Amino acid sequence: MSTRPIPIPQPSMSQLEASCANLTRHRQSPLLVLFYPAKSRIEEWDLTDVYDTLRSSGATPENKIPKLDVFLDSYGGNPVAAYRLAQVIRDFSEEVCFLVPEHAYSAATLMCFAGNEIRLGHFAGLSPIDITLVSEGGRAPRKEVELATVDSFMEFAQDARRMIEEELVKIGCDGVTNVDSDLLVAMVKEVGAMQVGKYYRERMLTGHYATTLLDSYMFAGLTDGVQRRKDVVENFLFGAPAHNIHLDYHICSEWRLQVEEMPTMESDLARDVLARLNELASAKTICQALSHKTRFPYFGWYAQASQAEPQSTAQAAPPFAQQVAAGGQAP
Amino acid sequence: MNLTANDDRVVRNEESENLKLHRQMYERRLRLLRELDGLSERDIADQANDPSLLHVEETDPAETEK
Repeated sequence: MSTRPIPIPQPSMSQLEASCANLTRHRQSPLLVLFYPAKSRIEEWDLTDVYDTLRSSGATPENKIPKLDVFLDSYGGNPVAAYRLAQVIRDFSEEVCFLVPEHAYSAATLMCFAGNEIRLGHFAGLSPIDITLVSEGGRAPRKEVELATVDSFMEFAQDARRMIEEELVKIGCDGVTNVDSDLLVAMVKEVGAMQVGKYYRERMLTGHYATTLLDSYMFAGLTDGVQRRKDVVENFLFGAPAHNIHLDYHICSEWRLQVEEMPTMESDLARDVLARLNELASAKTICQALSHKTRFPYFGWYAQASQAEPQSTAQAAPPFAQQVAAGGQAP
Repeated sequence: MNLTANDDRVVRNEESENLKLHRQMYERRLRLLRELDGLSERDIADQANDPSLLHVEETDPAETEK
């Protein structure tokens, strides 16, 4: 008995268009999509592509978009590229909101600092910006290094010395030890003196970029802007216990970032766009491989949809997203 | 005729424009990366048709380096 294979429906770009139209209609803003799936990182190569995408909208730095939403999903990448992309986006738009449906980590967090506001989807988040890049040679992609690790090791060395000296005093010995310097020498031997020096210098790179973006855009004109910027940079550079920590709405708000949690309808619409992008990437319609280790990101421009009938999204859309597309109200 | 973004004809047109631009960008990136490797035009043409590049090593997104 022969069996016929069951055809698997392929995701289409029109489903993505429909999801983006629903989001732009709800937000009343055009949308720039920056989608970096797994194995895709923010790179300086992206500058030309994002510039071309913005130019495809018809906007120029002399004729800016009055209000722009930037949909960003990324695990991070090169902080220099993130800063440069942020400035390109701001060159083309008067006011920018970054929409983060799930995660904008590391270098993507830095990019968000160029927004007038960051809007986080339900359980979405950012991450610390304590990063630099090292090359492993050849064509291997450069890897980010957690600068906090160097700082933490130095703190560990100081704490070790303090605790040992306290114990020595308790047992009546001369309370002096060189354990801290021994540990630091060991670290320099392990990493290399020049490399430690490089990390130490570059630990302030993202802080410098963050300061520029926050002063120019997010906190520009605010009476407490300077203090808020200092707090944000201090917290995002040094305040987290680890680089991999997920900073949700509550922490970002406490750390004085201009951040809002999306209402349910907006969060569902943004997550629906992300679902369509992931489907298209899985089907390799977008985000094709650049090598066996890396894949291309997706950049797209979506004009603001009119207020006419919402478009239905994919069959696989979550029930609530379908309800939203049909004109339903958020509970 | 005044078309809006809701009009099917416009949606189809925007779809093709976005995908067309995406493919152009992808091919440009691929070309730049391969030129960095010092490949000839023939090598680049061969690699552009390399079926193995249709596959990317799958990883858990949570394990993706930041």
